[in-house]
Amino acid sequence: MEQEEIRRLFQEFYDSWYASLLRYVARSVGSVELAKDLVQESFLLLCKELLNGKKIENPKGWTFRVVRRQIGNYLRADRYSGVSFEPIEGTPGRDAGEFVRPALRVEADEEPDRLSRLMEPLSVREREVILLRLEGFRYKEIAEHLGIGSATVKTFLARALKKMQERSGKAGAAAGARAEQSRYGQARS
Amino acid sequence: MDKHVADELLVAHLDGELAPKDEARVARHLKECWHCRSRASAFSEQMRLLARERDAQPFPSPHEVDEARREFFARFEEATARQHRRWPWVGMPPRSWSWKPALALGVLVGVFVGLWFVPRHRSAPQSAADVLASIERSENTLRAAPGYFHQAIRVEVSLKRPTPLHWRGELEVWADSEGNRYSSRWRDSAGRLRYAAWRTAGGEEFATDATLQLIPAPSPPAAHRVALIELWGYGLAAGRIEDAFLDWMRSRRWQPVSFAADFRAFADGEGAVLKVERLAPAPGRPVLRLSASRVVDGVLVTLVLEADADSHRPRLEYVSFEGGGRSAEVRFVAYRMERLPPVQWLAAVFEPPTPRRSRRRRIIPASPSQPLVALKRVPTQAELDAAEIEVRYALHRLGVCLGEPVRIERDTSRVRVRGVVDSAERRREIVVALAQVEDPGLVEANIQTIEEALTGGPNWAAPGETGQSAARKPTIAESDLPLRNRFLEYFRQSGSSEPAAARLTAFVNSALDITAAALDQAWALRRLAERYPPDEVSRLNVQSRWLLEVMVRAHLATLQQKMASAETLLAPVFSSVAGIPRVPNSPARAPLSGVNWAQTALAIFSRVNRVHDLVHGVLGGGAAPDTDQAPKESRKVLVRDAEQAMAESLALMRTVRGELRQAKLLAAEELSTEGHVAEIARQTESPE
Repeated sequence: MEQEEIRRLFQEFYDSWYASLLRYVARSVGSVELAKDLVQESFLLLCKELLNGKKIENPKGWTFRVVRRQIGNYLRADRYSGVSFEPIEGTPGRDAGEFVRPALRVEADEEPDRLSRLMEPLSVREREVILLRLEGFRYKEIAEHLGIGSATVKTFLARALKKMQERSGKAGAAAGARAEQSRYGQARS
Repeated sequence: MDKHVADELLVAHLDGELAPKDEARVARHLKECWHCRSRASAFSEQMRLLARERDAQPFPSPHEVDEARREFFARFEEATARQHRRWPWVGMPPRSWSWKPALALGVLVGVFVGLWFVPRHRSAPQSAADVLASIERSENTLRAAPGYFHQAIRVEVSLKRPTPLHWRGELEVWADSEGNRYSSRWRDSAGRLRYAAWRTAGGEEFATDATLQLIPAPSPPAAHRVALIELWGYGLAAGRIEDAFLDWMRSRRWQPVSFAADFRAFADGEGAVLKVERLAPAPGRPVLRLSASRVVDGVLVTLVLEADADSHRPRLEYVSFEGGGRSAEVRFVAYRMERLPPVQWLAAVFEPPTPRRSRRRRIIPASPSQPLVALKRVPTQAELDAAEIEVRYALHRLGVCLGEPVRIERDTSRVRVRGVVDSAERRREIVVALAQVEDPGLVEANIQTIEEALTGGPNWAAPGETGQSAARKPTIAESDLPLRNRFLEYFRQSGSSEPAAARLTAFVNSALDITAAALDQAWALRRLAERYPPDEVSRLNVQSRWLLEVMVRAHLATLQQKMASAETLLAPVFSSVAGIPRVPNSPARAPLSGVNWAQTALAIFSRVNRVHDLVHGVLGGGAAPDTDQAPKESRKVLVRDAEQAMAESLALMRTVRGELRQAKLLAAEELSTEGHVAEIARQTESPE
């Protein structure tokens, strides 16, 4: 890739992608400052690869994979250094997906913000899907980023929304609808 | 009707992520299925909530993004410079560099890279023309990025001479990157909506008129774009400022506000003097200020544009006029200038609240008691009927119909919902639910919280409808209970470890609660029965009739359940205490109380009401004289009355049991839309 091209690519990254990515990472590691480092670092790695003449088909996807790995490394490193993150299932594994994400605190001693609290009942995967969706990514992009199928994205998304609705109790309407359905559903459908 | 739509499909539909085939099926189903529509709206509400929370923490700020960008490019330049030094010859393939070990080092690499370069600040002197070009570029990049462009601009006018005057308003603009859809809102300093305009995906253009009614957008008052400096021509007098702005906005022809373009138009004029300076008004937030002055018709006009020194994103523009004994300044402060993701639930902002049946539109009023923006034409009775049922259903879903003092009224143009609720949260729930009816323009909500109602303003509590809750939860003075000893005796005999007095209290409380709850259901049923006698029902369309049926059946079913528990609870105790022979639990012979469901429901109401009164009379005590001190004669009367009351209530409950069953059958027969499924299908197929 020509230098000019690389320059343009990164200009575009900062124009349209950086903020989304940063927010996603910040929510994943629970710290804005750390997220800035991780994202910047992965951009620099990508840049290095490109300057070295490596062909990268999908630079965003590549960067995203790098970022996720770094998140995993970070969380694992923290885990072994004594800060406890409960593994969700199975043994401590290879990537970030297997660790509980800390809630985002903008200042160290602040309460987790409301979005973190809303997402409490979610599994790590559901949380990732929701966060990416909130950043405006299309299902195809989310699927690519997370290495899952588009259909799975749909399932995770729906399940996550459902869980949050049930948790927040704001599912009054939905619950009412369900009750009604079970009462009249058989006769009707 | 099709099977209900799965959650995944609904969510994907809201996100616009369905394959065309599925999309068509889901859209069709949603049209005819209230249940799925409400699920869909719950999902989109949930997503909106999340998006709101996400936006509540606006990081990274544009400044932070620019800082990261600057740091990155500093390193980039250095690295490329070094690369050239290393490989000065062209065409030589560089040594491949593996990233894997670096990744393994994780954060350490970050630290290393961090020490790699010292960040440099770009501070080369720039010419005014360069700065303007760069501001234009930054504005264009932001506007052309995929998604929605959103601007929120505070407009401040201050007249200094001859008469000092300050005036403020807020302009909010949304536009999509393709430049088709557009939407704007103009609010005065109190936050009241003064003007709104929409341009939909289909290129239709709407605006509001002076009374906030929706009209097709008028063509701009001037063929050319009204320039900022022309505001002066309006005199900027108190009454004319708003007109001036509206003209200025309309003449932009569905384009977002562009500070750079304004500035260029002005600076390109004859005799303009251009200047650029770099200021640091606040620590860490340097600003580039461009200013241009011209003398126009004897008035010195100065236009100033301030942009972030790093991102070159415009933040503030103001124009000042000086001449002829008059002086004024108009400031535009862009406090939001951002790109929003192209998500489905934001798209609603581009849709005006028109009652086209094929699309669902929502407008949530800025404040709950504000009427929803409506079409100018008078709606038909049928439309109002449909809207009213939807309103009733929305309130029913929230349980408002069970005794909360909220009233539904109709006039020739609107369905009005008035009432008093406990809390602002409850009001929000109700207003949001009302805003989701098919055509919110036909609905007006005027809901007060109790506090507001107490601190003045009209009180919309409907005494006739709320009377029944006054008797709720009487304080139970057990000594007032006639036949107290007999009740105690009963509970003593039906052995249990708990003391008889405690069990009696529990019995009394639950009996009072159940009958009160049954009465709430009966009231709700009665209101529906009175509002929808058979001739009214026949006027309803299929959808409305179905909603009515759902409500009636829900109330009948709950009432049936409540009465059954009341009977189970009361029958053994009452028959024993009052010495009534136990009637075998055979279904009571249903007397024919009405020829249709509405009449039957009214009969049921009067019986449930009577049961409620009798049970509360016997158990709720109240005015009963103290049995020990009352004359023997009156105690006798009291005992006899209580016995009769118990007998009557048991008999009534049996009757109601039969009537409820009958009402259910009648309602199913009269209201059922089962036979109309084909009709629904035809309605939704045919073009609207």
